[in-house]
Amino acid sequence: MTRSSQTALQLGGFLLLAAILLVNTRQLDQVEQRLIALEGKEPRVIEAPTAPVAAPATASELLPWMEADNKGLSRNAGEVLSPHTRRLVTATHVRGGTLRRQFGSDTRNLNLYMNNSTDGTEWARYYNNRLAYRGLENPDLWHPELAISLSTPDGGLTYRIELRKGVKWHKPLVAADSPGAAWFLRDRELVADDVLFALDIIKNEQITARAASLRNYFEALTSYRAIDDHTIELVFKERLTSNLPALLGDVEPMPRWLYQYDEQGHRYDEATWGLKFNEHWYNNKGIGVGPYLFERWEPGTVIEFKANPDYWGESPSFDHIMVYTLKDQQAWVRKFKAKELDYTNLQPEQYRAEIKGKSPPWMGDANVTLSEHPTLSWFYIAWNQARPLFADKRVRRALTMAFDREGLMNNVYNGLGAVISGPFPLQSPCYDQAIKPWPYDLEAARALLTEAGWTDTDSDGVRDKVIDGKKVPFEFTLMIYGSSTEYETIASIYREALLSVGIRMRPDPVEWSTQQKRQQERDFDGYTGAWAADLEPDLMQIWHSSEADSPGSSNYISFRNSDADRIAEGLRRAFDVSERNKLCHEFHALLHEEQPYTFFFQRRTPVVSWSWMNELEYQLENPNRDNRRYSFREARP
Amino acid sequence: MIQYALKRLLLMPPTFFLISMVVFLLLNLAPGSPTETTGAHGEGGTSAGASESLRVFKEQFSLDKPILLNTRQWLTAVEVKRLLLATGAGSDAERLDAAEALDDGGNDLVPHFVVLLDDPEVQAVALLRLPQAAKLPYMPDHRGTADEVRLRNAVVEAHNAEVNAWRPANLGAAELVTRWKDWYPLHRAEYEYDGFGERVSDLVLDTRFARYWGNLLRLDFGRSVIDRQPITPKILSRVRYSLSLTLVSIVLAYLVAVPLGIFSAVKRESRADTVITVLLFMMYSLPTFFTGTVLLRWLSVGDPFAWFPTGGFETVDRVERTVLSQLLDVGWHLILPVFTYTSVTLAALSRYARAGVIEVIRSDYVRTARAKGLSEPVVILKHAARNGMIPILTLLGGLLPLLFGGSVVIEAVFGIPGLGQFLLESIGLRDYNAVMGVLLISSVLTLIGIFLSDLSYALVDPRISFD
Repeated sequence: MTRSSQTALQLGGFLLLAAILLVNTRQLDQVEQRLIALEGKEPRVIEAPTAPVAAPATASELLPWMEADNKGLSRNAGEVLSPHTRRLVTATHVRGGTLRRQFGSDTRNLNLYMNNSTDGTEWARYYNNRLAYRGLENPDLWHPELAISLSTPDGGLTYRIELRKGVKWHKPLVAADSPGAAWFLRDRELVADDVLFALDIIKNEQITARAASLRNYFEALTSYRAIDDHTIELVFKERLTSNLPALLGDVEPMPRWLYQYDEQGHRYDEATWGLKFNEHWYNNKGIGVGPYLFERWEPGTVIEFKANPDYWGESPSFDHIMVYTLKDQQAWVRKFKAKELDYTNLQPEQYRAEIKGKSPPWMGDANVTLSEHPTLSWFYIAWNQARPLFADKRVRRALTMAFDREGLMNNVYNGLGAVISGPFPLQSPCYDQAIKPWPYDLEAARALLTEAGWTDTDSDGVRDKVIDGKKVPFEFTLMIYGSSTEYETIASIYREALLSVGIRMRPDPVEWSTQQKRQQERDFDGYTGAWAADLEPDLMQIWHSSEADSPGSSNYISFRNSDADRIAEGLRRAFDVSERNKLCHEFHALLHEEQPYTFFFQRRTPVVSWSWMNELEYQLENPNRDNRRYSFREARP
Repeated sequence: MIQYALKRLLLMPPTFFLISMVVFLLLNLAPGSPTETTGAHGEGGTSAGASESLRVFKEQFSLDKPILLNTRQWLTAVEVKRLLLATGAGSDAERLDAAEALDDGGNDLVPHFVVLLDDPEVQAVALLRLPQAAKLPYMPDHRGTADEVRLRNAVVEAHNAEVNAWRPANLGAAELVTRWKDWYPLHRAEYEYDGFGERVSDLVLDTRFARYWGNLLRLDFGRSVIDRQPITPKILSRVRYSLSLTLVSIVLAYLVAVPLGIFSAVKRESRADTVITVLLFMMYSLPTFFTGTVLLRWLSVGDPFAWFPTGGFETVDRVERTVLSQLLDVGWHLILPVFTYTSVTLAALSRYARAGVIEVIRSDYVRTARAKGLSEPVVILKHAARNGMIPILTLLGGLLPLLFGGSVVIEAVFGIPGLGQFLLESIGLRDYNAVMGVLLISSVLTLIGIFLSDLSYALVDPRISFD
């Protein structure tokens, strides 16, 4: 039998099975309804859920427990979670096999509250669950994961969480004959205390790293307690829009029975368990309740996971996941071509060598698929508004108009991105698509500079102006990240353009730690940078004028604008989506006018995969790629 | 001879101490610090919770201490007042520096803060800073028995919780001032010096460097600031990668370089010698990152050949292997990196060998050996080569630290997670303890290597004597 007819047969069989299941669930529903009708019971009153409801999914896409979740969700008043609309993994896939992927650096550790680089949360998606997961199509919706209900009777101050029952903890990797084995290797189920412990960690000031950076978002959380083994109540002192995303996005169950104990199974003393947690003996391993079990981490080589046979939810699509640590990015393509990786992303120079200006088959192989994934971070050039040179918004706009963003993006970044006009990613509803970026127009830039009082009085090719009785030429340095050749190219092109409008700019490549220090000390004229955007933007940190006064805060450019302050404060308390978007759009328009930054662009990552992978879906949340959603279309050759 | 060896051995510890001090100073004075690279305090670390984490982090790694000498005990209330005022005025850099000095001052500043409570100009700022400054450090586990540590830490915990609550946000200023003033005389002993001895020991011992050495004397390289795990096992786990690569390469380089050198020396200025010389110089001039990348490109991805693996130290998959097949697997992976590494060392070594033999061939006893009718191979191998190899043998001593340190470039190109890569990353992340660990081990090996090679001169060549 040929390979294709085999696949066709498998597919046919699968479809048949799906059809039978579909009919059966329909029939059950009808039977149930008939029974209810026969017994003469009142039909159940279903309260309209307060959370927005997505378009109904076809039943065939949902698993039985998802259906059960969806039914349960309608019980509580003030329910926040939305019904499941689809499975994580595409229905047509071949279960099993080993997914091979790469990561560009070593992970710091696998304790998700001690690892504050983005990869930490990525590994946690394999071995742990959160209370809820974001919808792929609509990231504003949260669907039940470990919480089968999350309700707030008073609209955002008190939250009541009902946990799923029958969720089993992974067994920690300790030797069966070790002194702690009797304690650590017991069968344990997820209980309310596991979630409370995560909150204890975030609230414990002795604990550093990621827990410390999350602490800000939980300042409004005043109390949390378990009502019973599977119910938790949390009380916030203030209704803030950041409360819910923090709770759903950053709280994951943590086993107190592991992290408050030493290797022998003795409990740490209450005063210093936080200090011990920072350097806990289990931090180099991962534990959770998720679809994959952590297997091993060989620093510099590989992190391995395997399917969890006792997983409560949708069965994992792979038997194993191997994440190779490949620090040299050249190796990514090399290993991909040798079929040692199932997919990989391409660096700009690799994209130039392998893809740009060519046509399929990519890399000379018809089995290579190319896709492009947007990333949420955006690039910009910042202008230090505490310095007189950049105090005038006309000057800042002129600086933007002398910056050939389209050209640079196409030539330096191979067209892998889109120019932005404001401080949000293009995919965010906050971004007002109607606001177009200022065009590249040297003539208009010259006019703006002249209007702002900058003219070349001494005909030396550089504009000047009398400020505080002193003639000042328009000269400045642009601090750029020194380890990137792209930035150097961009800076030298920009320098030429600026010179032609009468401004002398000197690029100043510096090392990352120097750049950070000088940003914090506000010791710069301008710098190139990037922000990783959140789906729920908080404008206070970067744009609020109160931050401009506190040294070391993120408002490096000393931006002060009363309208911006009003909007940033309003956004922290605006729950209604349309109200939020209105505020965002207003903010976008304001910053477009003010140009405190020259907004640059948002990048797209080219990704190549082999044909045995199903489509690589990306999400707007970090990590961009949730590998739990990936699967094999056919068995790996 | 023995006297000489002893003298050299005795000189080693002070040399090592000086090396450690220089490296430590360089590291700590370089721009950037672990608090930035690890994000220990989280982004926008302005909230009380985050600044406490930062304090804990700095305390754990002694980053709040001065580097070499602790002169904080001689700070006066006037200077502390100046610092307090500086946090609110001046450029951002000055404000940040003043704030950092006050944060790091910790317990030493408490007496001055209490005095300054009477000064209306700085009373408010002093009240703001007192709760943080008055917190006592926790006792580390190695300072006493488990019970002592637990008891002391329970006291510290209660103490810290008490002062932590005395924040202007919770209580009125007047109330706070009386509380602190009533409280301080009872706790004076924790914050003030009693006697000259304590002052001196604080000056020298309450510093980053002294604390580092304190750990070192217990053979403890400390913990990594990145993942807070001990450094020693991290280094040890990487030794096998670096060692296999460099050991094989160096042995191979010697095996090839010595015969090649002798051959070139015997046939010097012949066509064969010229060809070998040109070839070796070409290999020597090609940078390893270039050779490595080209070899991988041509011989690993099937463009045109796929004879070798695409990098790494061994095949990482889920197949169980026997010891033999695992060994073969590693060997197969090492062929390209070893070749790349050898191609550079080989050239230099064979030049040394050639020069050594040429020098000896010209000497009288070789002429004598020829004159007494010995065959040419015997003359060359037995008389000339053996003596000509002395310089090359002593070079081995200098290679000892290399064995351990690995090669940053080759490890990077071939994706071998050895010590070279580890060192490079640790420097980037300002992981002081990791960098110190690797550099100190290499410097010990360098010291031993130089010592051994000096001794070997005398052992190999009876004409040399140190007495």
